[in-house]
Amino acid sequence: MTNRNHSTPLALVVFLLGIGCAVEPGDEPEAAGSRVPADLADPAGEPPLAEWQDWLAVEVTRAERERPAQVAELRAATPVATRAGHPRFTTAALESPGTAALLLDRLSRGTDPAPVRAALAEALPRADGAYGAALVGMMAKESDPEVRVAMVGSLRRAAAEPALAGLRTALADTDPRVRAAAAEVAARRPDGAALTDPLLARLADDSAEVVLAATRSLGALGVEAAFPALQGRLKDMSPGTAELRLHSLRALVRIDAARAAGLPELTALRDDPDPRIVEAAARAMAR
Amino acid sequence: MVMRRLGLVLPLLCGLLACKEDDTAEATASEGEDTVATSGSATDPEPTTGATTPVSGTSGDEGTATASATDPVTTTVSGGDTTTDDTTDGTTGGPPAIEWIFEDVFGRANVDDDDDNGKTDWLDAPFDADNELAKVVLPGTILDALPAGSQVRLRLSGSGEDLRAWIGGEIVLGGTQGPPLLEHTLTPPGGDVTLAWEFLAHNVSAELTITRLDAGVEIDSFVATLRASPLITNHHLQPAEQAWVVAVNGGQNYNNISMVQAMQSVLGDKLTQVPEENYDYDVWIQDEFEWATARSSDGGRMNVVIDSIRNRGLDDMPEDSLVGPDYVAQTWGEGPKNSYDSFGNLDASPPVTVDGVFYPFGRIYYGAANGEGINYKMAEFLVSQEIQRPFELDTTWLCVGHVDEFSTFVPDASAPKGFRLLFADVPSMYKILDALPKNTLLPRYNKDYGYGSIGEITGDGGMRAFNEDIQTDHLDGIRAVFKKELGLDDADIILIPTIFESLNCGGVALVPGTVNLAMFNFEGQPPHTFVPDPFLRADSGDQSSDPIIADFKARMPKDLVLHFVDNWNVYHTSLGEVHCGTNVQRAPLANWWEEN
Repeated sequence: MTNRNHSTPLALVVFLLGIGCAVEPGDEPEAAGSRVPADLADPAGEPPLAEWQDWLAVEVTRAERERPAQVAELRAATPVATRAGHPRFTTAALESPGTAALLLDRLSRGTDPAPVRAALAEALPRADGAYGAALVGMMAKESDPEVRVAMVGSLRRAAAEPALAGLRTALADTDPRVRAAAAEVAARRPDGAALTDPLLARLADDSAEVVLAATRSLGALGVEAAFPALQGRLKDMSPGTAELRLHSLRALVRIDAARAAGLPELTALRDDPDPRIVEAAARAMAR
Repeated sequence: MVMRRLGLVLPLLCGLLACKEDDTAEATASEGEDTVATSGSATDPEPTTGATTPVSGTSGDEGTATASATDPVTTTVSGGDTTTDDTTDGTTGGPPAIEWIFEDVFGRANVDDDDDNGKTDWLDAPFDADNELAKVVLPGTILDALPAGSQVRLRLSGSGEDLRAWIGGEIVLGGTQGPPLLEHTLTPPGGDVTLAWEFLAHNVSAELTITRLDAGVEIDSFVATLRASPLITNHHLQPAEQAWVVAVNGGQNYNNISMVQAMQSVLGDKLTQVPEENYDYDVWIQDEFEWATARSSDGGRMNVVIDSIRNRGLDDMPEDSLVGPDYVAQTWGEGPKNSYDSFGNLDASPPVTVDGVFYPFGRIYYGAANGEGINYKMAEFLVSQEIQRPFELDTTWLCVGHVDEFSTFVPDASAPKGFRLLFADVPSMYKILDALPKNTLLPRYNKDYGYGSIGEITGDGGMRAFNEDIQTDHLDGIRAVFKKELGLDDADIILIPTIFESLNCGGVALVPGTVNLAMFNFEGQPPHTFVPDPFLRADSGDQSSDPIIADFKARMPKDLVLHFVDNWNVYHTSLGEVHCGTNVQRAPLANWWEEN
């Protein structure tokens, strides 16, 4: 534990319900086990998604009884500022057993400012213990999109079942930043291909940021099913679409370089107004 | 570029000697470069070079007699065929003529507080300890030889607000509390007249026209340059003078004790440890301030701590422990601040020649693109200093956004230019990673990044794609900018294997960025180079088993002494490395007023 225990007051408030619902109707996390490949499922002590609150209450009660000093210390812990200025809880502060539940408990109280809540969410994968199911549950109630983005980031390392459920939810979030983050995280997981369908759906997102993130992830994941849609993007010469053409081409090459090399659209892209696309097309054709 | 002399040699007693104006003007043009008559010096108020007296003082450009520094009235023949006329005998007789030439003034801004009265010295009248005034002597050897009734008119060009001249405790030219004084006429009082020039800011300049008047008629004129030193930032080829690091001891797993000890064992008292508790545990001392110097031709040196508008925990540190006589903290910029305003995002190259232009102090570079970047007032100031003409690099794709995350310079005596640019490179990192056994365990990466083995890194398709795009979209282009703006070729660049993690805020080094190093090349010591330990190995305690360390050693110039230090918990996982956590003051090498 670092000695960063400045004067953060410990507000003993109960869990705040209804902070804000960021999930559209019908987008609640799917039931446990659905669409999760059995060999990728890793319970890691995770409770069923629907039972996270009861699980967390038990974990916190036990910690308060068995490790009151640790509980108090972690509730008062102050993050350090990264070089970029963002608050971050050091790994050294998270080394005690069961710290993930205590971070979740603090996160659930909602009394910290948003940047600190984001730091709490970011710290979860570095803490000891399960956190995925509770994080997904809290994500649905978190009002600040930047905090939800941080929560999505931590799903990269969460157990498969809650992570995939949480990412599906996040891909349908009301805020495009959250959807884009979820698309990116999907490609960072070894089981990210399980999210192919919602990622493909995001190719039609009304946010260019989300479409780009989905495009990159489908390419990184090598999703063959994305090929036709991405190929179609190559012909879109409407204003402001250069970035999309570029990343669609890159994704196509990552999915199937040989097939991409033979695309008839490449000829036109060799004369694209954007020099990056011209270069990417030349590289694709040379493969 | 800097040194400019206008050698208008006009015989002092031209009228008496019946010389011709056109003849004397020609003589001036041919001889002026080598015949400087006066000198200005804060430390040497007396003229060090005497008047140069044409022996014949008549019609030609030959036959000048140059007074030596030690004997200002001695005349010696320096020319060849001497034309004589009916008023002189060539080498011995007749009144001497004078080259009406004065030395340029290369001073430094008077922005410190030598008397520690809480006011910058510009706001004070001159006092004994105020050593930033450039004293220029109009020698009595010249003035006393003027005909009775002669006067000397001093006329200042420009607005006159950024500099001023004192004579005997009074401002006679330049900025005052009222309108600037642009002209002053003096009657030779007998003996030397000393003007003490004072500059308000860095790299301000003006021209001083010194005109000899005889009964109100202009007889002779000379234009001298007055210039304050530009503020010059340091590059890594300059010898280190002092280093700083914030000492962190937050418990067994959050401290930089081993790193500081490694530095201390090499640097001794040349390393200053700053207590973290005094500065709100702000460890990013590279980011808070940037050392720079302003030097004058009299040997004076103003040490300037460019104090960032970053203003985090270390904000007061320069004022607490660095500022004093000849040491000043100055800030440029205001308004909203962001990570780009930190000085890990500001650096300077070693000396380079670009398209035929020599930059003896290198060129400044900083991160800025698409309307984002270092505060525009800071950038404007750096541009205004001219001598290290800055250029921009796009750092907006990084989470922290600093140039030191992908580049640095190291000395290399064997290199064509005496240095190498170390530059981050993704493909060379994946070449190493892909060649390693996939099951190599990575205990340091497991906890903080969730990568338990090499295979988990190389198998992260999203991260590989992210890094490939970084290389294509950013690093290739930035390297091209470096080559263009610094006149480099591939032989001047060492590619450093680097891999970036994708955070919500942008890219940041996953394997500790070895390019983000601290160069401690103190005089009399080999160039000690402190590099973040990459910990890409199963046994954290065994650096000899680390493939990144082995690769880095093989790429580096052989005369660098490499120290791989543990900066993982305090710096790396908080998005910085060794360079970010250190700061170095360096000795100036070149004289700006002598460089072209």
